[in-house]
This record gives sequence, C-alpha cells and structure tokens, in this order.
Amino acid sequence: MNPDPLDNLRMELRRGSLVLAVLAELREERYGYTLRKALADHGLPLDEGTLYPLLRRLETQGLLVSQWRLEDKRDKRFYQLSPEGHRVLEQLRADWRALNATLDTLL
Amino acid sequence: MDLLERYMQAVRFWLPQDQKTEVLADLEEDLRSQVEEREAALGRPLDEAETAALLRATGHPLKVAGQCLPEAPWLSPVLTLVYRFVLKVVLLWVLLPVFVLGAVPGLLGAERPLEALPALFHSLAHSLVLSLGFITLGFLVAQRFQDRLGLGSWDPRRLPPVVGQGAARIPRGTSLAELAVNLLALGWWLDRARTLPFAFSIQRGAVTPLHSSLWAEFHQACYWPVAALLVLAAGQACFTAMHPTRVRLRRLLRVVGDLGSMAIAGFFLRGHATELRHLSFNPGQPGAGPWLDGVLLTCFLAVVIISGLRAAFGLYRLGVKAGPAPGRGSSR
Repeated sequence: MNPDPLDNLRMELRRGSLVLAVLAELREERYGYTLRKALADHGLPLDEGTLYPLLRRLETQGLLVSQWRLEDKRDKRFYQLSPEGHRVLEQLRADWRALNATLDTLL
Repeated sequence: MDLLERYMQAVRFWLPQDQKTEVLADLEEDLRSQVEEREAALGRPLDEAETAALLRATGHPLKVAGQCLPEAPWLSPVLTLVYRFVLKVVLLWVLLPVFVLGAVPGLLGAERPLEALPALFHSLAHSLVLSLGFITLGFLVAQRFQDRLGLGSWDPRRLPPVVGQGAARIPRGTSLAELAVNLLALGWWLDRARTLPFAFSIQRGAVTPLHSSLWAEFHQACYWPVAALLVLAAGQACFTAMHPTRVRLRRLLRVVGDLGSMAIAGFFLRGHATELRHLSFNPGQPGAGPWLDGVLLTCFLAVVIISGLRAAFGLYRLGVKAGPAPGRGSSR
C-alpha cells in the first residue's frame, strides 16, 4: 500500500532538479514534444502530465514566454526563456554548482 | 484518430474548467506529434491497437487530468478529481433540487415566510454539513484502497465515443424557429395577452373566451419584466442564428432567462400565498373564476420549480461540462 521510501526520495530529488533542466533546455525555443524528447535524450524522461503543468507554472511566474505558431500544418506552442528566466537560470546554475560541490565533499 | 479524440474527451471531462483549454491543447499537440513520429518511422498510419498502446503509455485519462492539479495534502490528485465531481453532483443534482422542490413551495405558502426562513436555512446547512462529512469520510477511506482502482490496466478502446461534436454548433434552423416563436409570443404579450390563450368555453355552439382576474393582474403587474424576458430570448435566438458556435453564451443567456422566469413567477406568487394554500380546481363555477385561477397558480408554481431546476442544470453544464473542442483560442 505505501510506496517504497526510496522511490519517494528519488522522486523528490528528481523533482527539485526538473525546473533547472527545463529552464536550461529552453534557452533555445522548443515546442512541448521536442522539449520532452530533448530531456529524454539527456536521460531525463518526463511524462506529459508532469511537463506541461510545469511549463504553465513557469510561464505564470514570468520565467517563460510561449507562442502558438503553425509548423508542419499544425499549430504548435513554442516555449522559450524570458529575460527574467535567463536571469533566474544563471542564479540557479550557480546555486546548483555550489550545492553540488558541497555534496561532493560530503559524499 | 477517433481513439485519440475519445481519449481527449475523457481527459477533458475530468479537468478543472479553468485548465481545460490549455491542458488539452498541449496534450493533444504532444500526442499528435508522437503519432506523427511513429507513423513516419513505420511509413504507414498507426492502427487502432498501436494507437491504444500509445495512449495506454500516456496514462489513464483520470491520472493525466489529476497531474494537472496542485497536490492536496490529504487526497491523491486522482481522488481529488473524483471528490470534486461527486461534490458537484451531490450539491447541484441532489441538494439543490431537493431544496427547490421542498422549500420554495413551503416558503411561498407559509403565513409568515420571513419567520420560516431561519428554520429553512438551518435545515439546508444541516444537510450540507452531513453530506460533505460523509462524502469526505468516504474518500479518506477510499484513499487507502486507491491502488485497486485499476488505472494501470485500462483499455483505451473501451473509452466512450465522442459526443457533442455536432452539439458544439447550434443548428440555424433551431435558432430561427426559436426566434419566430419568441417574436410571436412577444407580439401576443404586448398586444392581446389580456385574455388567456387556449382558455375558452363552448356553450350552445358559441365559443366564449374565459376571463381570469388573476391573469389580468399578472399581465398588468409583470408586463415589462415578461416583455424584457421575451426580448432577451428573441435576442439570444437571433444572436445564435448568426453565431452558431457560441454554445456557452447561449447557455448563459438561458440561465439568465430561467432565473428571470423564476423570479417573476415567484414574485407574483408571493402576493397570492393564501390562494396558493387553498387551491380550488372546481370547474363547476361557470364563466371564470377560482378553478381557472387555481390552474394558473399551479402553472406559476410549476414555472418557479422548473425554471429553478433548468437554471441549476444550466449552471452545472456551464461549470462542469466541457465547452467546445480543445485547442488554442477555442474557449468561447
């Protein structure tokens, strides 16, 4: 009935890094599916139900901008970092590296 | 692609109203990209089994819709969706009709309606608290058994067929017929409505219209409100004839019309509470009078109840059910 505690911990660990990964991938413009593929190619597969709510949340926070455009005869929504998103990404990247360095000394 | 549309319909059903358009547009675009990519790799369209496998890998519609909700500390996203659905059904389909059917006639017939109000609200609050308590308790228990919901072993081919594809467009013929009926009714109301339609007696071969003082009073007291309602209905029919896809706006205007009908009939009945309590249907008195007034009062009461139920149903459809097909800019 109760999920494995290790699974829960892994999920939490992963959840924290997803935002950073998505912001990093959106330095260049992508639409949802290609973003999902790019993340999966880097070893970070995400399902639709996780990615799209996250994208909407980041857009609401002003970190992303999106635009609907016709491509290959279909309307697609393209996402990209906003200027604020670029600024936040740089800060988070510095934080991530510092955290990583600290953890490396601990682990 | 029929299977894909059925899947989208199922997800749409469970999504919160404010997220339907955005979530469905993203999800549909993603799924169609996946289908295109696989078809390009295979060099042929996907068959039903392959599409079903893709949708199964995406997840049960309830689970996909649940992922769009913020996590509730006490209930899983999937159960939160079902919980909200059950609450809406119980509040709008059970408590509200019971309240309208049970309380409104009682209130209208009460000698001192204002004094009856506190007891009425107490009873309503009691029913609300009890219902909410039992439903919440039930879901807290269900939370412990949610692994048995079977969301992992579902078959997309069993999803219900797409409904309402045609309904997203109101047939022009329907709108024009509504317009004609409402204009006729408006003309009749403004001109000759002092006598009742279809109420006449035949004596010795002569047709004599029946007169009702109650109807004359209603006509005089509610002349402009009823005329305004008929103008609204005619305007709505005219608008939907020109814009047949504005289904939600039409529903909204109908709710306004139903609430207006309920208010007018209720307002008029309030002035006739005593007669309402002593309804007489004795047709033995020729010419006019109490029996016809009794029928009219019953009709007004029916208008209050039916309009109330229609308004509740209309609000439910506006709030719960999906609007038009998903996609960018499709929310009307």
